[in-house]
Order: sequence, then structure tokens, then C-alpha cells
Amino acid sequence: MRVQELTLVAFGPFRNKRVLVAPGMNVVVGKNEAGKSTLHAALFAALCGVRRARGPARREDQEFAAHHRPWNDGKSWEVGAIVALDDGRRVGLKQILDGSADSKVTDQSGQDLSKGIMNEGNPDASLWVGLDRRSFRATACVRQAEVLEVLDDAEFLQTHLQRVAAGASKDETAARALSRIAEFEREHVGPDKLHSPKPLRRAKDRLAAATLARDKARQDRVALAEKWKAARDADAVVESLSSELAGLEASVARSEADELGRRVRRARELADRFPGGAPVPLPQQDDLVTQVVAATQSWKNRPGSPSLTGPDSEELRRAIAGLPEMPVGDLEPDGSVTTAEGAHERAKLALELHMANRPAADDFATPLDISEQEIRQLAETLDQPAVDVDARLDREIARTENEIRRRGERQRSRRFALLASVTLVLAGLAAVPLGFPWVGVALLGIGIALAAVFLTRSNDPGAQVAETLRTLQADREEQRRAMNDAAFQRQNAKERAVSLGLTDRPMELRRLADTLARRTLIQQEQARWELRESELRQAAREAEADLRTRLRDRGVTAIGGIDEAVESYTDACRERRERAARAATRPGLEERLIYRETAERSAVAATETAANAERLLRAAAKACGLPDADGDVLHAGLLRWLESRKGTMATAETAQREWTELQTLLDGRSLAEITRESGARDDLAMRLAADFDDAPIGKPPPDASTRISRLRGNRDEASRRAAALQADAQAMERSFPSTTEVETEVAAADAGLREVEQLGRTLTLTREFLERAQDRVHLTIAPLLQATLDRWLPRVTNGRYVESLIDPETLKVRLRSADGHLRDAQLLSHGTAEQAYLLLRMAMTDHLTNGHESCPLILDDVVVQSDVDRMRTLLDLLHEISSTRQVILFTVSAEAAAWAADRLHEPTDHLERLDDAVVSP
Amino acid sequence: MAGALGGSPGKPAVTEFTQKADLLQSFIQAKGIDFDFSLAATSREQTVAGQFVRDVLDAADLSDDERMRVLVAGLRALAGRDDLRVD
Repeated sequence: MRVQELTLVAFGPFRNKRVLVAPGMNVVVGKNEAGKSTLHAALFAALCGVRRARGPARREDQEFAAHHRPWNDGKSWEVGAIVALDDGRRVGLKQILDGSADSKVTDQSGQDLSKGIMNEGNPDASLWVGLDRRSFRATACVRQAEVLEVLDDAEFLQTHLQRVAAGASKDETAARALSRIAEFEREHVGPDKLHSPKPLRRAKDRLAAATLARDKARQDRVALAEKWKAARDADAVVESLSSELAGLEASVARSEADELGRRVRRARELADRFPGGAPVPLPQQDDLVTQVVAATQSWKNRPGSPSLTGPDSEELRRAIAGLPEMPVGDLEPDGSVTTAEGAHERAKLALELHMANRPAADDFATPLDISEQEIRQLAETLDQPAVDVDARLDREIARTENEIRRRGERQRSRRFALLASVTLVLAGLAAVPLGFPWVGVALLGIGIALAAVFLTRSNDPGAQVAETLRTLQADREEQRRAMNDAAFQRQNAKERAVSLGLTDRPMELRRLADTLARRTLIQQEQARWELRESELRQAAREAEADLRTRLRDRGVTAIGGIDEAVESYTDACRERRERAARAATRPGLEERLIYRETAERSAVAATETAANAERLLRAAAKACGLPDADGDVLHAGLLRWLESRKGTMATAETAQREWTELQTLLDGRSLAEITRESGARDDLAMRLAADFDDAPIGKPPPDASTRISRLRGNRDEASRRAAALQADAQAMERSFPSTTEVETEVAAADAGLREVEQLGRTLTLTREFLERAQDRVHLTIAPLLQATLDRWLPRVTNGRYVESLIDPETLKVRLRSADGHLRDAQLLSHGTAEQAYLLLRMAMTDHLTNGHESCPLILDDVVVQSDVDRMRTLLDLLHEISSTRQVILFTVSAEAAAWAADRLHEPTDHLERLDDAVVSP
Repeated sequence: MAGALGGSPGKPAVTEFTQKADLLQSFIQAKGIDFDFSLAATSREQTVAGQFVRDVLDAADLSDDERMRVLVAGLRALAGRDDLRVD
């Protein structure tokens, strides 16, 4: 995009001023106050317009308007331009800056292009170059003030790069924006730490407190509900008690009314019987009646005449006196004595039986010094027959010895035959080489056959025969030794029998041994009998001693025989038993004596009572005028007399009783009075019963009065308790905050917390996105800027600086001098700094507009600090750049004007000289 | 940068950013938020602001409300404003 024409319809001091602009480099020269800065601003306004968005105008917009509104007519503020786009189209821009009408952008065909470049309510042609009016002002629109700021502020260069890179505002860097976000987050969110005064912690604390208050309120509400329930329960108890009391009172009232009604009816009935007042009083009790009644009662109740049988009291006393005293001692033989007596009897009997069975005595006259066994052995030995060597054994030995001799002779013959066969073999072997082969073979065969026969037969078992002979000879020697031993033993046995004076005949010796055996058995039996006798005698003695001990324990001393002592003890027991039986009748006789004496006294008293009753009966009969007669006759007469008096007495008594009943019913009041009271009671009972609808009123219980009193007490106590509970619940309810309040506070606290948390998240996300964007853009921008600087720097600095380094993180600029030293940008000379700044602005413009329409550079006195050489070099550089993008330079410099006049060529370039003091009012 | 602006596989093209930006701009205006920036224009810039707008518009894990809040807060901060709360 290149500007072709600028028209200041009404802008600052200019009206309808038209400035033609060449497509290459333009130098607008004028002295101070000639309107260079105004034209610079007008060019910016013609291209970018001004912001028309809603809301208050920004400070820079306000300042812009204050400086550049038309001086004579502020209501019509308008500027225009004609630009040529890279594709050859010519576009007219008409910017109505005061908003009185719409700005317009049209091409040569009249087509409205405004919509495509609308920015904040106004067309903005900088959009075609990839910028907007803000970034255009910060990038392609370089003002003198900014250059001066680079010179005044050592860090401005770096800061400016950061601002341009940031893009959103000419005054702000991304780093400062991040810092502002962080600060805002610290103040409006803050850390989530205890006791932090910042909003996040406060919001959490508020929510926690609100939740706590709400939970407590809910708990309180539950407690309050329980209190109200207790109050309602207490009311129900009161109501129940009142109902029960009313029912009971109605029942009692009805009962009392009924009772009074009954009394009134009875009183009225009785009063009707006494129209004349009280009845005549009963006559005085007749003494005669009393006497008659007493007499008849006495006669009727008199006792009969007692009949006493059996021995009288005197006889019983005598019988008691004749009874013996109760004996001391055993009445029956003691069990220990009877047991010991039985044992003693059994021991004696066993001994007697044993003594009756004594075994027979030993009848063997002379004892022998030899045992039965030895005698039997002697008999056995003597009975052994004499034996001799077996004759067959001798014959066998003789035969074997002959065999051995024959075998010796055959051995000698075999040796000779063997020698002959060897000779034949040798002869046969000798005959073959001598020419007699057949003879040799025959001799050889015979010799071998002969040798084979004799060698075979030489396998004779001669050793076995010799062994057999030795065995036979040993057996015969053994038989001879046994024969000699038997003969020796018989001799010894015979000598032994003789020495004992016994016979040497075996039969007799055996009989003697049998006799000795019987004797041994007899002796053994005798010994066993004697041992048993001793045992039985000992047992008898011990049984007797035990019996004596038992008797002594029962008080009996047995001096003589034990049997007599036992008999004496048994007799004494029997005697004591008889005496005890007699003595035992004493209590019965003594009781009978007491009964007898009582009966005898009762008989005397009955006789006296009967006599008295008869006396009273006769006196009463006499008083009544009855004739004397038998007692029973008189009693019947007196009963008839009493019966006749009884009817008169009953009538008088009834009248008297009814009159007394009437007085009791009236109780000192008149019949009319109790009738009125009865009506009143009836009304009361009906009123009380009315509360129970049609339910029947039952009969009151017997303890109704007590129950009514207790019910009233319980009802009053329950009423007081119910009232206290209700008052307590009401007080609690008044003290509670409303549910709506606490719930609203929780909701508000929750919303507040969510708002703060959302703000924190928003700010965190914003920082993260912004940091990433900053890093990416700086990483992209830094090498581009560095390449641009490296391309132009040696040329504009005349080789003093050959290379640049730009930190991608901070965009800090350093230059390497020709001697290799690196210098920070803020330490450069003014001229070098100015050059570096312009180069960086151009580089930044290149970068930011890359891919879009070519962006013109509008420079306002940017070479003011350069010396002539540097200025010319810089102007040469700008001129070179103008081949790719339009350059419009406003300057006051005469050197710059001279350079332009020398180097610029129409129509590609243009030199515009402004009149002096155009902007002066 | 030019490639990014022109669109490439996995990256939305400028027109797509513009559409998103216009949509979100309308959303912001409808909510009556004080916001004097052009998202469409800024998204075309090769500046930090432009990159920021593009990144936020392109972030898939943000809701529209969060996207709006982040954009307003970030651009306000870049403009040197202190009213970063977006109600």
C-alpha cells in the first residue's frame, strides 16, 4: 500500500490542503511550526481513522483530538487520502473524525471497502498491512518524540521492542501486563493460606462460617422441633387428663344427682305417710317383757345334765401314783453287741468244725536220707539193660577196608595203560614221516583212544570211600564209649542203694519211692490243718475280746464267761423294756385326770345353771299369771304371751324408723329445698355430660373422689409443664436466625467463593496464555530483528558495529563492535542508538506486516540526532528501503533537504517544502 | 509466522480465527462488557497480543465463557488497564 495523496479537509490549522505523495521516498521539509507533525498526524488519521467504539474515549484519543481538531471549526473534522494497493487498485479514504458522518473507503469503481477494514467503529487501512491503528502507530508511524525518548531513556529501546511485540498498547509490554495480572491476582484472589486477608481466603472463611452457621441452625431447628413436640406432647397429656377428669366429674355429678333424686323421691314418699307430723313415740319397754324374754332365753339355753363314766379323779390319781419311774439303760440289746456276739458265735463254730476234721497221723516208722526222686533215679539206672557194639557196623567197616585195597590195585594198572597209549601215539607220530602214514594214523588213533578210556575211568571216587571208612570207625568208637558209661552208672547206683541199706532191685526201689511220696502228702496236709487251727483260734479270741469291749461300752463288765455276760445283758434289757412300757402310761393318765376333774366341775356348774333357769322361768310365769306347771309347759306359755305382744311393738317400731329415715333424708332442710337442689344437681350433671356427646356416662368408681383429686393435681402439673415447654420453645425460636437468612448467606458465600475461584482460574489461564504467547513471539521476533540489524548495522555505523545480539527472552539488544566487544544498546552513542532504533522499527515493521500489503513508513524528524554523515547514510538506507515500501519523512533538517534535492528523483520520489509558520494561529 | 497466519494442517486459518473472533466479539458485546479491542484485527497481528488471541481462540479445553474472560483480562492487561475482573 502506498499513499498517493493526502487531503486535509479540516485538520488542525489546515483546511482543504492537498499534498501529493510519491510512491518511493518522500521528504517533507519545513521549519518548526510549519505543520510537519500535523501532516504526520493527518496522514495517520487518513489511513487509520479514529476509534469510535462505545465507552469513554481513551486518553491518547482525547489528546489526539485536542491537538488536531480544526482550529476554526471543530465540528467538521475530516481528512482523506488516496492510496494505491499492491494489486494496482486505487482506494479513496474519507475519514470523518468527529463522528458526524460515516467514514468511507471506496475504490475507483465506487465500491465501498469500509466493511472489510472496520476497526472499532471506523475504517482502518492499517489492517491491510497486517496492523491496526494502534500497532501502526507503534510500528510504522515513527515520531520524533519517540526517537528522543530512545536517546533520553537508556532502556527505552528494549522496552519499545517489547511494547511493539506486545502489540496491544503502545505503552505496555507483555512483561508488565503479566506483572499487572499477577498483582491483580494477589490483590483480588490471594493465596489460600490461613489468616490471609485476601479475597480467596476470606471467601472460603465466609463460606465455612456460613456453612457452620447453617449447620448449627439446622441442628437448632431439630432441637426446636423436638421442643415443640415435647410441648405438644405435654398439651396432649393435659388434654387427656382433662378429658379423664371431666368424664369422672360428669360421672360423679350424674351419680350424685341420681342419688339426690332418689332421696327426694323417698323423702316425698315418707312425708306422705306422716301428714300429721311425727308419729306417737314407742311405749317404754315393758320390764315384764324383759323378764319373760330373759326367762325364756335362760330356759331355752340351760345346759343338760352331764353323764360321767369311767374312773373318777381319785381313782386316776391312785393309778398314777402306782406307776414306776422310766428306767435308765438299753431297752433292746445294742446293735454293736448283737453284731459282736454273732461274730463270736461264727468264730467258735468254725473252730469246732475244723477240730472235727483233723487229718490222719504219719505211719512211716523210719525216716530215710534219700529223696523219693533219687530213689526213682536209682531204680531207673539199675533197670538200664547192658548193651554191646553193633555187629553190622563192624561188618561195614571190613567191607570198606577191602574196597580201598582193590582201588589201589586198579590205580597201578591205569598208570601202565597210560604209558602204553603215549608210546602208541609217539610211534604213530614217528611212522608218518617214515613213509607209513596209514600205520602212523592207526597207531595214533589207538593210542588216543586208549588214553581216553583210561583217563575216563581214572575218575574214581577213592577219597569218598576213605571218608566213609573214617565215619564208620568214629561211630563204632562212640558206641563203645556209651556202653562203658552205662556200665559205670549201673555200678554206681548199685553201690548207692547198698550204702543206704536199700535193695538194688528196681521194682522194689520204685515201690519205696511211692511210699515216700504218700508220706510227703500226709505231712503237708497235717501242716495246713494246724495252720488253719491256729488261725481259727486267733479269730475266736479276737471275736471274744471285741464282744467284751462292746459289752463294756454298754455298761456290762464280763468277769466270768462271755456267754453268761451276754445272757445277763439281754435279760437286763428285757426287764428295762417292760418297766419302760409301764412308765410310758403316766402322761395319758395325767391327761385323763385333768379332763376328769374339768368334767366334774362342769357338771356341778350345769346343774346350778339349770336350777337358776327354772327358778327364773317359774318367777316370770308367776308374774304373767300362768299356773304352775312343768318347766317346758311354762316355757311354751310364756312364748305365746310374748308373741301376742310382738305385733303392737312392730307397728310402732316401723313408724319410728321411717320417721327417723325421713329426718335423715331431709337433713334439717325442707322437702322443697332438697327438691330444688336435686334439680340443680341434675342440670349440672347434664351440662357436664354434654361435653361427651352421646357417649354413655358410666357409674363412678368407688374411689372417684380420690381419683378426681389426684387427676386435678396431675392436670395442673401437666398444664404448668406444657406452658413452660411452650414458652421455652417460643424463646428458642425467637433467638434463632431465620432459615432464609442462613441459607441466603451460604448461597451468597458460595457464590462469592466461586466468583473468586473463577477469577483466579481466569487470571491463571490468562497468565499462562500470555506467557506462552510472549515466549513464542519473542522467539520469532528476536532472530528477525537480529538479521535486519546485522544486514544494515555495519553500513549505517560505517563499520563500527558489525553484529548484533538480541535476547529472545527480554529482547535486550547488544551490539558487537569491530574490535569484538559487545555493548549494551543503552550504552551506545546517541547517533548509534538512533540508527539502531530506526533499524529495529523498520525490522519490526517488516516482521509485523510480512505477508500483507506493503506498509509505508511515516517518519517524523527521526534523524535529528545524527551527524551529517550518519544522516546521509541513514537517508541512503531509507531511500533504498523505499524501493520496497513507501517512505515519508518529515524533517526540519536542511541537510536532509539538501540530500533529498540531490538524491531524490521525481516521480518516484518527492521533496515537499512546507511554507513557514503554516500552523501558527 | 506467515505460515501460521495463512493456515496449516492442525492450525486454523486466519479466516477461521476471524470467524471465531467475530463470534466471541459479539458474545462480549452482548454481555455488555467494556471491551474496546477488535479480536479479529488483533488475531491477525504477529504480536504477543495477536498470538495470545489466537492461542486462546484455538484452545479446545476452554469453555466460551472462560475464553471470553481470558481474552478480556489478557487484552486489558496488555492495554495497561487494571480492571481485570470480568463480570
